[in-house]
Amino acid sequence: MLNHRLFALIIKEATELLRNRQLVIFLTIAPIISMVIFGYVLNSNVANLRLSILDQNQVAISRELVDAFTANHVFLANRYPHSQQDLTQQVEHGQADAGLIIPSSFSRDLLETGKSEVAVVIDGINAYTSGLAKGYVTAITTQFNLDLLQQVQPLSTPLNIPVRSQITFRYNPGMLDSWFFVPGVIGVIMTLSAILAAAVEAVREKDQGTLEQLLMTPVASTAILISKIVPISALLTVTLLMCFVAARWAFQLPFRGNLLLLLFFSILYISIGVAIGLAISTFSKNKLQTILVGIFLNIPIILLGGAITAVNSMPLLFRWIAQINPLYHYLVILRSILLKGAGLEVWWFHAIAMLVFATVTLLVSANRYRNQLG
Amino acid sequence: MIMRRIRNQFFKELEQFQRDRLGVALAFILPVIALLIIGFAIRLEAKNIPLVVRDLDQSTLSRSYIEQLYATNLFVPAEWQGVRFPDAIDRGTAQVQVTIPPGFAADVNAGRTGEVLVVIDGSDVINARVTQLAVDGVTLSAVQRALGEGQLGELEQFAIVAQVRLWFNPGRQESLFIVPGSYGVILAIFPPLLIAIALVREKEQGTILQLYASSLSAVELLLGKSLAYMLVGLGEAVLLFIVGLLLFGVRFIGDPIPLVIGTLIFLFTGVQLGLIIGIFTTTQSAAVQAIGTIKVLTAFLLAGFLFPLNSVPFPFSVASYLVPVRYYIELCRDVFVRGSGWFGTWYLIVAMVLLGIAEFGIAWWGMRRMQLSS
Repeated sequence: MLNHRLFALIIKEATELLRNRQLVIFLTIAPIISMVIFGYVLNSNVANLRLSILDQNQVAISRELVDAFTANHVFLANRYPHSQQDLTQQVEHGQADAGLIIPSSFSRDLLETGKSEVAVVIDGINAYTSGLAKGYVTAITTQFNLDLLQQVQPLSTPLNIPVRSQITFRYNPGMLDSWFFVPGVIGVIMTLSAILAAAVEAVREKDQGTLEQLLMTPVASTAILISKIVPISALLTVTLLMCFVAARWAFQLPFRGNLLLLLFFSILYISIGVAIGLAISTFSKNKLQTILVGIFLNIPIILLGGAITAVNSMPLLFRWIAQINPLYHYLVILRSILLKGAGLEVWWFHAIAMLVFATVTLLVSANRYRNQLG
Repeated sequence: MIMRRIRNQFFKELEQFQRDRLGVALAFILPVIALLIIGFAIRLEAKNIPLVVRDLDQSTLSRSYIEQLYATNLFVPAEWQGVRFPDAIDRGTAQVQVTIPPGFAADVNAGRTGEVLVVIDGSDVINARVTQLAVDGVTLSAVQRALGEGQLGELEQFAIVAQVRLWFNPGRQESLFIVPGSYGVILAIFPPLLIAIALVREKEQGTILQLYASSLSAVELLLGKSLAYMLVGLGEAVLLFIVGLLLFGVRFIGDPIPLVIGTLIFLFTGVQLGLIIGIFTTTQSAAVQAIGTIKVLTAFLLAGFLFPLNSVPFPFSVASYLVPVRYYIELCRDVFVRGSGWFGTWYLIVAMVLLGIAEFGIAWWGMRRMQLSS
């Protein structure tokens, strides 16, 4: 009897949800399109930095150095100024990201003293890019020095490189950015959609006063709550599955671990999002407040969850705060299953954290919801 | 006459907005909290990457290599008690493992090549890339040192040194990059959200029909509403700039006029998009999802807020040029960090003006269509 009523309620909520065509489109098609776009766009590598080159020496060796700078697409030869002032101005005005100045005494110094200096200026506004670029500059010049040594070394005693590091990238040998960012974007989209859809839909009922009508009927408040959570979660689960298929197809994203666990924790995460959304709706007085808080809450959840930035680089306080961010735990699990093929024995801690979250958020929103009804 | 109608519409809109006191407070407090979280928490420069080292050589050379690794300030020693060494990455307890095989120092001293084996967790590309560069750097400096003091004494010469200077932000202070960017992100989200909600609410309540019936033209209606929410957005902007100055020390450099004009135009483009979403969606839940998908995602991911857009592949790079936030973020970084004045910013403002006009056209067309249909 109870189950029958619950079922009827769920059907009612589901039809209402599906009737809102635009919302359904924004919960299904839009996420997939955005995932594909951001999968291609997001890239943490530094490439094609516009390099302004001032070669005042203009000899074979200085040209070789310029070639070494632009050989591997980190830098892109962009401008050839005539004076140091020109170069300075180009970097200052943002027309170039970096500048390379080879002085006229470059080759002479090198031959006479064995040492020579070139100047590199980098637009340092972005601490991340400029740090990487600086590393590349060091790597390029050191490599160039070694090549130079090998050239002048007599053939009888070939030069041996004394130290070499052999680097292997596990799980992502091609260092594809999309393999890291696509799971992150999927997590972000699920967070946004679940929280906002649940919050706004729940508060709509409050505004329209249809909640009172529900109260007259002999259904338990828990049943009302479940009937709110299930349809949105189900719709988002369908979206999530389509996202996985699209990611597999567009980015060859590997699915190395247990797919059932992946599905279980994904559904769990969506329910957490929906529960948070419902909780927001019970705390605010009207729609505007619900929406503002809902959108606002997404900012820290998304930016501090490790979706697009590395959590380990954040200050200590925020690394602790990340522990109470459900997205953080979900992303660890998602990436572990997809990329590493790791099982529960590796990420059990995050699994427990998510279960705790699900319990707490569902209890809080159930409790708030019941009080609101009563 | 027209001016008066626009003004009336403007005051009516503000009057309606300020009626919900808590809503108004949230509209100003939430952006500031968002700025604080973003400014204090987000760090793009990698730190605290867990590293495990297995030094099987135990020589002076191997120890100095390890010291150099830690001297990059990127790594923290990972705890791996009870975990067998090769599993540290699989277990997720470390992201990098470095093995120095026995005989490393002997190989180097004998003029052979000593190898260092490095395994990096490639599932986190951001950390992996920085790690790769750091390991390469440490190895290359080990090479230079070994060449200098070892086998090839006289060939220590032929060293080209690149003097790298980071401009505008020599201390690589991250707030100088993140805070101006977050002005763009936050102002891209909140004002459009407010106007979209307001418009859809009028549609849902049916009060917009009264406006259609009045002699107010579509242009007057749009301008009146736009100006009201631009004023709200301007208030938010000023508040953000003040907090950014007081807490993060981000101050104007050079000419503030491009910032004032740019901010107004940027708010106009944002508010127009809010209007477009409000016009084309029929329910608040759809409008909020649209803002969530279009504004939040593009501002975070498609506007160069965190990662540079230099390496975005072709069809997707076009998309990023259609996002006004992209230009505004660049403008803010220029005004607050680089300070190149009109010369480096005029084209950003022109781009935003063009996008704003296009958006206003779409909003006007949509509004006309809506008025005719009802």
